[in-house]
Amino acid sequence: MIKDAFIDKGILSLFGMLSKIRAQDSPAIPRGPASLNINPFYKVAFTLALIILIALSRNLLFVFSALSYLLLIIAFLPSIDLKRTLFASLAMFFISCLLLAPAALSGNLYSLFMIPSKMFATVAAANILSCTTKWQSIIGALKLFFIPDVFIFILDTAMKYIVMLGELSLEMLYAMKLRRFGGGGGLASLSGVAGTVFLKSAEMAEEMNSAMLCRGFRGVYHSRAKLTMTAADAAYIIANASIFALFFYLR
Amino acid sequence: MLELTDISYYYGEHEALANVSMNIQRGESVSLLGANGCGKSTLLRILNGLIFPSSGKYMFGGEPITKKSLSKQAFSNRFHSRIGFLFQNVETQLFCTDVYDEIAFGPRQAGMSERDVDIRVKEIISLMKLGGFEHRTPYHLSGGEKKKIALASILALSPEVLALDEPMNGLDPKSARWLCEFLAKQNALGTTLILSTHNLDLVNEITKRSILFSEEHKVAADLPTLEMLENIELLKKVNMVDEHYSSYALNYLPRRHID
Repeated sequence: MIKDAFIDKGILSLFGMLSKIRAQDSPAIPRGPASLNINPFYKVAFTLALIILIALSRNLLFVFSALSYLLLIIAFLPSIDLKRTLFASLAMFFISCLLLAPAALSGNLYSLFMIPSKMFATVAAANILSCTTKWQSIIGALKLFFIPDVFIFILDTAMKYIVMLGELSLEMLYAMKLRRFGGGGGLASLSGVAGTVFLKSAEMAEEMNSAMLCRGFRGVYHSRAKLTMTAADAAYIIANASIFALFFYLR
Repeated sequence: MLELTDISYYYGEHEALANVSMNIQRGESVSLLGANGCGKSTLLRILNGLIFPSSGKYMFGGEPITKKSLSKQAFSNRFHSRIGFLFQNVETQLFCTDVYDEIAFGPRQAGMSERDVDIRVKEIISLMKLGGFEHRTPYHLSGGEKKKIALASILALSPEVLALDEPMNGLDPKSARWLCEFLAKQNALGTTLILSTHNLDLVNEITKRSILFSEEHKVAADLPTLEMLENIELLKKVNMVDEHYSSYALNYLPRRHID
């Protein structure tokens, strides 16, 4: 029974992960205004910069300003993304509060305000980026950070394999669940699933190599990314630049 | 255009092809028929220079295709731009971030300028009716759409020969019909077609010649497709059909031929 519950949990978590990845590519799912045609490069660059500035800042006013800005963006997210972002950020906030409780009891109230707020802001910024930008777009934007093409290709392929091998594992778990009638050997079956996934991944990698050769692959993979500027990009840049200016002003 | 002489291939000690010889002319449409495991997919891999025969000779356009000849980059590029291969499992064939890049991969590797690549990709998207898919992630699409995109990515290099491994697999009847008509049209435009299939219902509409493989991995017959499909005893002998197919074929094939 416990082993069956383990399989059920495996099925649910795999299904959840695949649904999330698939939902990112679905044109039918509406995204929030935050995702409106903003170039992924700007989103990645400014999110990274904001996280660094929040980490560096010792000024509570700046951290609270950044927090307000992020909460404003969160307010415009679709409800499902809003819940996910708030849940992750609040979870980290409370965990850090718990860890800092002894310091607060010793009279260090500054840390109790500062560190959990920074944690909340950092997790929120990362989640906003993840909710409003497709994984493929984030990976593609890395090209503009002068990341080597081969590294981008590896990340891209890894994403693809997570989906394909995830689907394969899910099907095998379904088959295992249907064929089990409460008997033992659950752990052995699970190691069988892992082994099959490993062998399948090797086979798929070989086939992909063959497919690339058939299409004239010359050993160099070229990824392309365009740096464009729209009105939405400009508004996003101005908003972020204001936050950054505040950081230096408050120093 | 493609000449195979006494080709044999072994996976370890297991024989996959035994003394196979054939000659395929430019513009021909040929189907490779046979039961599972008879060596059709192995032959297609040899034709595409992905594996090399254990013995025998393979010539493409009058030039020998060997490990040595394909190790020369220029020759390899020229060869691969002349022959396109649609894999049985198209999922592994799609490896780019989006559909646009997938179709553009071949032309970019061939050294085309970005402007020419763009023109080529747009032509193919229009030809294959893939408008609206440009920025979708290939592996998130349905089976039929994936197959279309894999085919589009091959056609972007305008190959003279199209080799297809079970192209109808996993397609719904409407998509299979579309693919069938598309391939027949490509053949009418001069592309040489070589396809391995189990789908005997549609094979007569795409190809004019069929090569049947026996379970001993040898060529059992090389006949016009309709003649091959009507020779039920021969198909039974290589374990490709059973008595159920006989009644279907006798009733259906001649009538369609008359139509």
